[in-house]
Amino acid sequence: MLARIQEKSGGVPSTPSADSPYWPTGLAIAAWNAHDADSGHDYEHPIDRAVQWLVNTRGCAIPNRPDIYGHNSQLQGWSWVEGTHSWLEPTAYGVLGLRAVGQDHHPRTREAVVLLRDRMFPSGGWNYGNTRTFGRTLRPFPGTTGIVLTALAGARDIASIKPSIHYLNGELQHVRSPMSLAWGVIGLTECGVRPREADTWLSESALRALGRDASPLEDALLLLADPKSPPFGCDAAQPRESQVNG
Amino acid sequence: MGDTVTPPVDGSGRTLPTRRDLLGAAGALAAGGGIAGAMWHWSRHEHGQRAAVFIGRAQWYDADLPALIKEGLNEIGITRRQVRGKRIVLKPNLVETASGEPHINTNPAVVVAAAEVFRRLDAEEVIVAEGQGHRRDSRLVLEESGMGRALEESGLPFVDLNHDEVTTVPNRGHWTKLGALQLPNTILRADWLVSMPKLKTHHWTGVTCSMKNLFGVMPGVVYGWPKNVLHYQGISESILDINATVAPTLSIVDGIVGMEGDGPIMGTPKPAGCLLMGRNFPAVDATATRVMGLNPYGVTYLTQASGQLGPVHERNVHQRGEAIASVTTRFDILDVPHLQQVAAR
Repeated sequence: MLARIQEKSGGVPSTPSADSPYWPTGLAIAAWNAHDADSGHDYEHPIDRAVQWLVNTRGCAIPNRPDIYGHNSQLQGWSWVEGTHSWLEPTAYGVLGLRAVGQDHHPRTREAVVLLRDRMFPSGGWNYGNTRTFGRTLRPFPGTTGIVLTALAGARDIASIKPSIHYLNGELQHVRSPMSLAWGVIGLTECGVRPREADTWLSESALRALGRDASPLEDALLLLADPKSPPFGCDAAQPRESQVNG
Repeated sequence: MGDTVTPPVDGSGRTLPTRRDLLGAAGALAAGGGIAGAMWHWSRHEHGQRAAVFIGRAQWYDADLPALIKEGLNEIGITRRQVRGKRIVLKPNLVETASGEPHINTNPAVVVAAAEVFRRLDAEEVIVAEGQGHRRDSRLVLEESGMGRALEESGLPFVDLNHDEVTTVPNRGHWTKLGALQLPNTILRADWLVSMPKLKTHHWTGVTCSMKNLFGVMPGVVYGWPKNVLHYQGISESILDINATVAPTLSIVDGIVGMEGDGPIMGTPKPAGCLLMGRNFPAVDATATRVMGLNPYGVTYLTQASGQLGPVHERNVHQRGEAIASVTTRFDILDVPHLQQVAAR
């Protein structure tokens, strides 16, 4: 499905419709890469094209305005929609995609990692991608914190993200919504600090979901948080020369 | 953030302001007429548009809100016959949650009361739908805001518009450069779209109410979190395009406890003790701005909506229920240059 809807540019749209933006491209790389390793299917060409799309696409830099917002707006990661500013989730997905194929040291990965660190709250955690507006500190969210920790896991200088690990451990004590809980558990697991109670929390979340309409996104995230299926495992990936052009 | 005046190009046959109209408004200001001069100008160019807005008092959320909403519907001329058999989508303002700060979001009691009234009036279906701009996890926002439990107890289904199926439709506003908008099918299938905003100040637009609340119908899977493409197109222009395209039916504003200061998220609670209701959104939002003691002609999207999407001038808004002056309470607003006209008395 992902390979079928991939555009010639290499971007993978967020919905099968033609007008969609391509922010899931990094996630698609991670999915193809994991599938490739498990099943012997060859997704080399879709991965190569997707990597080229990531390398050639970037969010817009805008002038720094510390009186208005709190982040370094000159740093470039990835945007939700082409032609707009870089935000947290698409940048984290870009890092996940490039790290999944061993491109940890690509300049785009490195700048994106700097961006992610820049947008962390001093007391830990991330929100959608801005720490302050008009002088007021905003609030972190557990879901995006889990996503960014997943992207940063294995990076050097783990000490600097310890406040975020602490924040997330505290939040997950009471969060049972599948999306935030699953990403939180995945992030902590990838950082090597999976909470002992994680399986209980996930079971509680799954049981609650039984009484509701099915949500494939939530179900998929709960499965990814299962301890038997480490979802990203970027550390072992080796770079392929065909992927670093551009 | 692009809150510039862009004359709309309209294919629907509506009368549009000409360059002379816009220059006339600017000239009224430059000639020393100031805000009063501009108000006269826009009033003159509202093309005979008139709209009714109801204001009802409610000091707290334990008031008989269904009765108040029913009274409001009667006052603005909505009958059982008009509601019967309709698929109604209630669109509250759910943004994010913080412990002890329920004034960020539309109170669940208002949403449940509206649903109860529409059900009593024989609506075929009432659902609640939202697509938050910052927090992607709708279920967490529902749980932490108390909205989830309230909907469950009332048997009201919720649709996450951020992840809904979408359809591309022509942009009927053309204030932005977007040729088309991608809208959730839940919104397109609805007979009635009811905006249920919180009465709040906004650090970019000055005021957020019925019209700005419709940013939340734009699906995040297409527009992102935040919906940054709309910021690049101009917040005010995007508000106008969304309103022109989705053609909302009714607004019910939670002004029982609003937000002042650094809204829409970081502001402080401001009791205003009222609900506002109306079918014409510029008229409702202009009235809401007056209730907040602020200047509707300082709100860019209202000045642009005037004469296009509805009336803004007080003379053209037929007040029902309480008088504006009886509920007006001054909302603090951020002291920043781009909001000076909103704060001007």
